[in-house]
Amino acid sequence: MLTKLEIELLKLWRKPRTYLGFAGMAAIVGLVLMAMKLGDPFSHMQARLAQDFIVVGSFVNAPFLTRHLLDGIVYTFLPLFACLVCGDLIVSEAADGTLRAVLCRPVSRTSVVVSKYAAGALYVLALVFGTGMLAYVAGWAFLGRGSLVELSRGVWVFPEGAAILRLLAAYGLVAASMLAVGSIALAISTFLSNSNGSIIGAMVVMYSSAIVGEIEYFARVKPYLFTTYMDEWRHLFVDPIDTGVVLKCVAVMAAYAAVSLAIGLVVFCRRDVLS
Amino acid sequence: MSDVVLETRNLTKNFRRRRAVDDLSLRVFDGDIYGFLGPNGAGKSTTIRMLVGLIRPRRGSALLFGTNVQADRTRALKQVGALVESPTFYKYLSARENLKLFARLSGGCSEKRIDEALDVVGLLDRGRDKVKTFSHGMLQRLGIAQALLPNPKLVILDEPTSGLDPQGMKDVRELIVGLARDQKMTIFLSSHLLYEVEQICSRVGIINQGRLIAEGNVAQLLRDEVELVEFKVGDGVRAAKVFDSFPEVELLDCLGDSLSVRMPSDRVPELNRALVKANVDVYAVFPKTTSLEDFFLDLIREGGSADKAGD
Repeated sequence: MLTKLEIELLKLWRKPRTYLGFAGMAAIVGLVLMAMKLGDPFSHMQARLAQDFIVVGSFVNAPFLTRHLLDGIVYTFLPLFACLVCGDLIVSEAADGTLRAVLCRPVSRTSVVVSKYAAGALYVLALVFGTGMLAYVAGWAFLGRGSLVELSRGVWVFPEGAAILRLLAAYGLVAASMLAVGSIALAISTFLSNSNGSIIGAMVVMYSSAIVGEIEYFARVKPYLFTTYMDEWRHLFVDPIDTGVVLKCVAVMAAYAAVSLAIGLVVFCRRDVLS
Repeated sequence: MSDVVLETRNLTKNFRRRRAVDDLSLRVFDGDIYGFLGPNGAGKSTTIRMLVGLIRPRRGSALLFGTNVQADRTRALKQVGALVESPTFYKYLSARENLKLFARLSGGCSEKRIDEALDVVGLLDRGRDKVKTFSHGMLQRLGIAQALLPNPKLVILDEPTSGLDPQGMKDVRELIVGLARDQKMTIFLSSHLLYEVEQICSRVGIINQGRLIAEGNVAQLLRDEVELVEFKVGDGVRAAKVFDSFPEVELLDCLGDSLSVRMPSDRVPELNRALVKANVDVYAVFPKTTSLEDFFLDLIREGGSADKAGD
């Protein structure tokens, strides 16, 4: 299995599409950084704080950038790039015929899917944590370090050390969400013969789930929708952390990932390879 | 009898309502170069896909070295190298990297073995080039190298000379014969090129509309047809009258003074004597040799209903 995982990672490493996600996230980090450095998008927050506190200097720093970047990417770029790679792992090889060549070898179909899934999962982890690290390093270079000021659920100030740990945990929860989305894309790709279909399909599933979760009529299904938990990383920026909520988020995402993988395995192991 | 290396038992596959392969049973023995012949759409590639487990049969089974492919693909394919339809590779990797990658899926192999495989197909000097720069013929040759890489006992090749120039086709044919002769590999190759199959195969199976319509030793299959005899005579009309008196002689064709008949070969001297006795000048009598192409076309014309078997 390790050999197959190595092979999948080598293919990912050499495929130009892999770098689209990293390049895209780097561009977004650059844009947000530029806005924070050159503009003054948080003046209203500063003004709000000044009503109760004496604010010296700016709280726009590396932890602030890394934390606020998540607001803009959890429902947009991260799932898109996760799907772009995970949804392509099987279907692109089925379409160009290389899957046929692989399956003519003495390898089990289960091991092929699991190794691709594992490679996709590693990619998602690298993408999410890579984005966080890049944001932090770029923020440190251009905005400086310091405590993290969090205003979304009250006013919280976390010293830099604690802020880094919370940021790591938050990016971890986001990575769990992206693994669920990537798994859905991979599962959908086992039904299709074109990678665009699996990418669009997974995004449609995600947005439909988010919309359904907002409709009162579907309130009873909301707890079972993975999108309900995609924002739970915010709970990591209050004190004390509600570990129950965090663990539930991890469990739901793991369940979605596991069920998607199982569906993908069943479909892939039974399908005729005709390409 | 030699060991059975590859066997299908009542293999059947449907695509929706269309039956692509119908109750196909064939056997390939150790050391055979087995030609799997059929016109386009006959079911050759579908059969090969079932042989390597790419598609599941509706009924029946495929066995490689006695192992059922459906039950245990990994074990069944352990000693098999295959090139199924057009060769495909990772375009962003070099030829050598592709071979290395595929070799690792079969347990790995040395750099020397990769060099040997590239050398055998004449691509040693292009090993470091990305596959996306390769022509179709080069890809075909790389596909064969990929199939040979794990040093298999059975090589399954689907139209191996497709897309090659005449010299390339000749090279591949010589390579296949060499593999069977020198490395004792068993070869199962599909083709619609009758000349190719006749030249290199020891046994042949002919498939049409999904059904095996003939199978056996190439020489034996053709020898069965040697009862066709052609007579060159002075007077075709009188000769035809003489033939009428022999109930076992079937006149097939009469073109002027050239007559083709189907008859038991041991009656030829008697018929010749009868012609001479009837004052018909006989200029030549010769068995009409049937090429595999004639044989194949006859079978296809008969609608694939005549099941024939050689040794």
